[in-house]
Amino acid sequence: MGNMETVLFYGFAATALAGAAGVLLSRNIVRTAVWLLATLAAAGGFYFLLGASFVGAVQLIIYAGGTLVLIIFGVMLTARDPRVSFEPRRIEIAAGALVCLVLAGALVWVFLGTRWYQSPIAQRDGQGIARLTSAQIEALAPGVKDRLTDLDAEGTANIGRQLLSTYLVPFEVVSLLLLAVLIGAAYLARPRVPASPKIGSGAGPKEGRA
Amino acid sequence: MIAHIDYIPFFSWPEWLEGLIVMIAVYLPFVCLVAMFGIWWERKVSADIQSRHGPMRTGRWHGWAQSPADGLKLLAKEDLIPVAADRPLFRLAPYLSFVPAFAALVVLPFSARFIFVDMPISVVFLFGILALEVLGVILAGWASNSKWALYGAMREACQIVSYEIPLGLSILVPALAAGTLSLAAIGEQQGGGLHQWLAFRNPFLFVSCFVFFIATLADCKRSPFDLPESESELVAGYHVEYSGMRWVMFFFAEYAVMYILSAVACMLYLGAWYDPFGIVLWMEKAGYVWSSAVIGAGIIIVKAFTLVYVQMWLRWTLPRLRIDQVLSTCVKVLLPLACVNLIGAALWSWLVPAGWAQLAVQVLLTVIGTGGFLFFVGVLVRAMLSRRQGLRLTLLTPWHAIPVAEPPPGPEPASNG
Repeated sequence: MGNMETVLFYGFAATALAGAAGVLLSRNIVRTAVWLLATLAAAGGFYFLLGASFVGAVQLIIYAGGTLVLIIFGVMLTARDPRVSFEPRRIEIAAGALVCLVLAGALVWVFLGTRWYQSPIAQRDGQGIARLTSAQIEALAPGVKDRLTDLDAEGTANIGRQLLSTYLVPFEVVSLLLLAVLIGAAYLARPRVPASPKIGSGAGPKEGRA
Repeated sequence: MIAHIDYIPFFSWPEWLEGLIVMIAVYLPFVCLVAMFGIWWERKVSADIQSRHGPMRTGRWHGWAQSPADGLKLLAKEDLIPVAADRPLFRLAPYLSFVPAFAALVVLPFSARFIFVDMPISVVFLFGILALEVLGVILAGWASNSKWALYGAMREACQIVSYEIPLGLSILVPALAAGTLSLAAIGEQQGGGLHQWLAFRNPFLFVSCFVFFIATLADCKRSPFDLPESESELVAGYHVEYSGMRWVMFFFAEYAVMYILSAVACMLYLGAWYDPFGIVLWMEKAGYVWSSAVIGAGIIIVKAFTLVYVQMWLRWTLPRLRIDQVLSTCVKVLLPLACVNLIGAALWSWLVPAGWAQLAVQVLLTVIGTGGFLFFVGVLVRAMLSRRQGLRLTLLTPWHAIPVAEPPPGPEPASNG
């Protein structure tokens, strides 16, 4: 059990792949969502392994805790039969395969074309982009050690600083988009007829009186 | 990361083995003890409030052995899975509920020295891990293939997704005031007396403390927000089809989350591991490292259980809200309050200089807060000393002086409600 990070990496990778395969192969739509949870959580695990714990935690909050809950919620509300399964048509399978191939090609292209950043401290110890173990950190010079331990906190602070300076306009555009979505949802959900005074006045249960 | 904070360096083994041993030897027993004590205590508190005795016979002193006895019973209980259930998901759901609660405990500091994992963003991590717990509940409700369980799960999904917003915003307010997202670093700034606690730093933090507490009530499905498991309408909600150890998982998760969120409230607002008089800070500075750490851990556990007591007190006092009332409370009251608090706290730290005005506000808020706390303690003590038989019997009479024949010691159902 030499390098725990390597073991964990392969564990997370296997989980992510198994989850993705499960999403593809499962016919039951709620089980599909659960397989998706495995993939999303494993992606969060990758971020933690890379020392980007803020991104990892946000991955858990937004995707696993928020989006997935909404997906399952939507499935439970819309499925006519709780055992609903879906049979995609040939043309849908072909279109999906095409989109996936293009996406995979783009990812491989980006992957091969990127010059991967390696932190100088980690590089010197031959650890690749993995973080160091505590014994290795102890062996470092004091000044270097402080920089290393601050890396994670600095990363988080840096994200905040960049969002409010360099990327302020995209950040605000995204928040405007979310606001538009909120207003749209409120518009769709509004009562079509004027609400009777009983509803929402706290006078009693809305239904079940008859 | 704070340089002098670490956990006990007992071992010289590899880091992962060390971590594994601490998880199994310290945290797992701790969660189990918290849950078992919480369940026994909930029975005693509910009994007090309803003028009953609660468990009195199991074990000798006030039925202390009731929780272990229940545990043994549940271990031996048949593990039922409904025929129409979705078997893999039905089996998975309890773990999805319990594991996040357990994992969240890892980043929770006990005192300046007892921190298992010190992340620079531990607040966000804790919040993210706890956000997974709801999935276990929803899956349990869906996989049971029972309409009561499904209703419970739907309500839970609605409620948690809504209340996560005020909860998250109220976590940000003290983080903003402290200037860090690390629980340990937030805790460290609150030593040196009651007026240094973050809840008393400015009016927005003071209000935010209450918003946070109400949102945690909804987040751990406690009354008046206990719609997902309301036993009078949904039998037991999402876990109605579960029995034996799988049911225990849900229960342990619920009590663990109650404790964790209360401890987080103490870390963020109520002075972390510091006492109200600045003694622990003085000990830390004077070099009593380990004794101050042990006392600090005791202090935060006592504080957290005080908040757990308030949760129980509210549960047995308040009626349950209706689902539309639950949601409109969130969207129309808590959410605007949380936003105002966030902006107000930001403006405050920008505009108000650290001087006599700041100190005066701190002292004023401390007086208000302490006065309110003492008022409620006074109400409790008065109720305890009053002539209401149940209260007197349960809390002030030794167990052997209680007449056994009347009234029958309440063997409540294993308190799933």
